[in-house]
Amino acid sequence: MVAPKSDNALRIVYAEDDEQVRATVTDLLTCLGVDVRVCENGAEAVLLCLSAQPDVALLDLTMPGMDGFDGAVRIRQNDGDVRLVALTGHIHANYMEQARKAGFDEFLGKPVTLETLEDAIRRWRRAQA
Amino acid sequence: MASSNDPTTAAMQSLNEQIERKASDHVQELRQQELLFNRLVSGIADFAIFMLDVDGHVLTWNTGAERIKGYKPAEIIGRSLGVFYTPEDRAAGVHEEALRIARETGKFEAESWRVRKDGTRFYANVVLDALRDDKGELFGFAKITRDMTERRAMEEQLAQSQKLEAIGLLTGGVAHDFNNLLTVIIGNLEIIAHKSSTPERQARAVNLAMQGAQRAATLTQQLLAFSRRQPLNPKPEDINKLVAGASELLRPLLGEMIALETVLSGGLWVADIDANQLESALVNLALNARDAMPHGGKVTIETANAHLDEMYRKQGNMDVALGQYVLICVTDTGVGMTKDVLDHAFEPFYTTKPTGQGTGLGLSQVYGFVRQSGGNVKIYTEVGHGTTVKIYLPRYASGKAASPVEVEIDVATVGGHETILVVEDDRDVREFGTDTLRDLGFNVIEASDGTIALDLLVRHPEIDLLFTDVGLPGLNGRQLAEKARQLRPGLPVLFTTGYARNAIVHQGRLDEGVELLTKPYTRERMAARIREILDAVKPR
Repeated sequence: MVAPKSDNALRIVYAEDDEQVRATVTDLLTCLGVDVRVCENGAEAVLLCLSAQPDVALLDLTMPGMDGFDGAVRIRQNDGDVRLVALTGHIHANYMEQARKAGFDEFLGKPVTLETLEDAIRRWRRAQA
Repeated sequence: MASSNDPTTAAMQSLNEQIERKASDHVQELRQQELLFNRLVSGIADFAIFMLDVDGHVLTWNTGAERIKGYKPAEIIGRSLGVFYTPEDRAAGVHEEALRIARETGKFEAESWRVRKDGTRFYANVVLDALRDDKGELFGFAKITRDMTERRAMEEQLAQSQKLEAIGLLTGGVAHDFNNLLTVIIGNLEIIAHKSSTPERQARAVNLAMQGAQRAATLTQQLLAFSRRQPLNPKPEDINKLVAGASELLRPLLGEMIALETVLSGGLWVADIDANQLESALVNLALNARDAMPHGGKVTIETANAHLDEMYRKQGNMDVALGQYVLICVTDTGVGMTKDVLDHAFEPFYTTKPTGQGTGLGLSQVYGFVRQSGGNVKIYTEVGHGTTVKIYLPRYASGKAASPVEVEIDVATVGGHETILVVEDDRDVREFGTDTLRDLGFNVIEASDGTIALDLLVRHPEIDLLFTDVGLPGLNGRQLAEKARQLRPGLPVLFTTGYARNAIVHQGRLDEGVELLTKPYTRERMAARIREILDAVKPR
């Protein structure tokens, strides 16, 4: 069942395998008023995106099972509108290029701060409008 | 007299002719063979093949020699082999030494730089064989030289690119892991400071930031272990006791599907080793064993005395000292490793585990730590059958007994009104140290450098202990301690450092009698060390 979206809250599906990073980024996004749905790998993100219909899919790249690259490809197949954002500690030209090829719209490098997330959310809202 | 018609004479003649013909054929054949052989030797272009007389003068010269060394036969025959050597080697008498060895042992072989006629150098593989006649009399030498310059350059290039690849893997891995940990640390500090944070969320953030920082500390420690630069504190240890203790830790780690057996050898020697690091190594090996047996299996940990001899060194272990070792074997019945995996197994951040599961630092820690301790690590593995990791720990040499079990210190009641002088140039670190010590019940006096510290020592006779950073501006920690002890003989000193390779640590090991607390340290570790040192001087 598709969950109804509230009027203002940006909805993000967030996939990250590192438990501490996942908890931290989730709390940061919550502080910024975002509706966050959390999962641990690419396969879960694909399913969660189907049910949650997010505005943004925020994916770590290296995860066990289905990684962020494959996850992005699948999510895009199901939803042409969702904004695909990579969030990774691999700030490396190869990864950026691979992410672009997988269909990511944006590449965010870790460590991510409240300020960078705030800016990003502003951008995503504009894109959504 | 018999006429030519005599049948006997005719037969003799015929026989003679036959013999002459045969002899002539044979000579012809020999000449043919010699010609072929000469053509073969002289025609070989890839090897310089030539003969020397007993004194090392050139007797023959082939095409390969001309091509490689640049001399025509007329230019070189009769000259000493010294002309092929570099001036340095010639001055050192290397060519004479080569002849001597070949004369005495029958053969000399080497790889080194040689000089062509035009003065350019090439990297040569040289074999010199002594030539002796039937009576064993030396009549010269056969010399075969091969130009290895190109191959050497290719090998160097390959080694260089492999090195760069390994460094790339290492830096990429470190950067990735630290970026994750910084996300946790910075992010949670921001959550703590954020206006909308509830007390529950703040409490969770404090906890997460601490966990992230501790993971970062573990990561730097593992990197230092691999680089063999961590401060080690080797003590005589009973390895059987240590393995028995560690196996209790390992059981829950391995899970129910994996059996653990320990086979402890009687009469095991005492090893000279850092017990904490050895425990970490055993945990790392157990984790690898577990991950190699997803469907269950068995881990066996065995101990034994071992003697590493010349044979062991010849099996590709040339950098291992001969002698007595305490051996620990950790064997699993898992998937084993392919040759390619084995070649990279000790490299940091190299992992075959699924993304997100392995750090790629486990075997790096084992390798770095054991090598730094003067031991050796070898992996024996068979795909589909399992892996044995053999750790050779140096046997403890002198007469001290194995270390007693460390006494747990009640950290809550540490300070007994003693006064501690804290010397640290980094203000934040100093503040943490002084706050913690005051918290623990000590009186604290602080200084930001060595000169101020010495002045304070003179003015405050009540100071009981000097707690100093090693890397200070001006007087370093070690110099400060020396001067302080001139002022106050017997003053206990506790050093602290984030790094091992400096004035205080020789080859990564602590000097005898030096007390060291490595950064980052916790309140508990600091309390325990300071109490230990103060009590050793003046029991409460």
